[in-house]
Amino acid sequence: MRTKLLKKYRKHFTLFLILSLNLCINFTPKGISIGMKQTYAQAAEGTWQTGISWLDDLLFRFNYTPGTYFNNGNGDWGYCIDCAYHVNLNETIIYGTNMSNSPVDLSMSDLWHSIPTSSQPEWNYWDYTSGVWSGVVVTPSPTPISRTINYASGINSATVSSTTVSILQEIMQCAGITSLTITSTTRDPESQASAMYDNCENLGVENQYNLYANAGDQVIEVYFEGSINHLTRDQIIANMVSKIYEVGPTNVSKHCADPTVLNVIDISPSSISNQGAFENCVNSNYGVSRFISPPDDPVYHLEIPQ
Amino acid sequence: MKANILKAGAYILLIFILPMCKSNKTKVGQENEKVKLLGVWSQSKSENASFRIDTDSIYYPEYFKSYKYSISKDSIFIEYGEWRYKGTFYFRNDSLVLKNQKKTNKYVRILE
Repeated sequence: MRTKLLKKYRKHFTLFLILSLNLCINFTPKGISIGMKQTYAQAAEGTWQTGISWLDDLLFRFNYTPGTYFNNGNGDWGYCIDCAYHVNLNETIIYGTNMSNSPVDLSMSDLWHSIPTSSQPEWNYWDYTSGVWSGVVVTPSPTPISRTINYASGINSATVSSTTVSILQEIMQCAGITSLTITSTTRDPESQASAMYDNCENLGVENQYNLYANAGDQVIEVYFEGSINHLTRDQIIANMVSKIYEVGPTNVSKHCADPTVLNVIDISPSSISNQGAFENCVNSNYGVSRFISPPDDPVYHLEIPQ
Repeated sequence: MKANILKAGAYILLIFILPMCKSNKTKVGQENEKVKLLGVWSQSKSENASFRIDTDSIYYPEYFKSYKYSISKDSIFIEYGEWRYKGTFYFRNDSLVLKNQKKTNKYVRILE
């Protein structure tokens, strides 16, 4: 019995072993999302296959929408030919998600597969209109696509860790974008206290009380006490910094954190060429613990644990 | 004959007066909506305010910055410098709901 099962599923076992190192499974609000860095693999029968068929089987068995969907680069999901051009052919990220707005015809289990014929790799996709597999010759980029992370002037890029850079690169690759601009990074308690001090001075204590929750209000109280006791600016700010550490920097402001624990970055939406795809890719990235977009915030706000 | 002239005059007056009444009503309605928008809003009462809506700008305390906005009927436009947020707004009980094609955001009032 065991031998029969092993024989029946040997292709899946082989593919699983080959692909498992490149597999990530995320649980998103939209359901399960499986990302796979794609490599060619030879199935046990001797035929060339990608992991797509294996992924289809897996999703199908667990009652997820059968089929493999590409993020189509337009903030939506679909099976588009152009998507293959955004990434290197042997490093395609594939998603299978139980989305309610999935493509209409789901009768086929394989939407895409690749056949490396002669020296020219080729993507084949199922053409539902004609009901045939159609080949699309894809020429991988001769050089890797350059992806640039820019920093707005005056931004302290030193607090942005290599982990964060790597996650941003993943997101950019997923969304098919080549550059983005970081407009703000983690604010240390000293900068937070200084900004709060200036606001209390310029706008008044009452004005500021209305904008902060309990932790922030405690910091403002320290300002108020220092102010009525005629302490100097530096003394008051030092006391406010102590209070921020006491109540917890992240409780005072979501921008305030220890960058060795949490990287907080803001990205200008105007620097993103495809905002819909970017938002989808951030939401499905396991490295981002919190993502806030306009109008909650005026920019894209990402929190990345270190 | 006289009656006909009077009738025609009445119609002409109605043609001019009715749109004026309607326009005024729209304007008043829009002003009311704007007044309801004003205040400090947050995603929950235990969190920092998300923003404070003033008469002509929205202030984001976490960013120490204000952005211009405008409304037209139930639509709201926020000018974030190089790009613009377009959405609709409505009120549910004392909550403000901002909605665009991508998502719906709900805020509770912290202060009027």
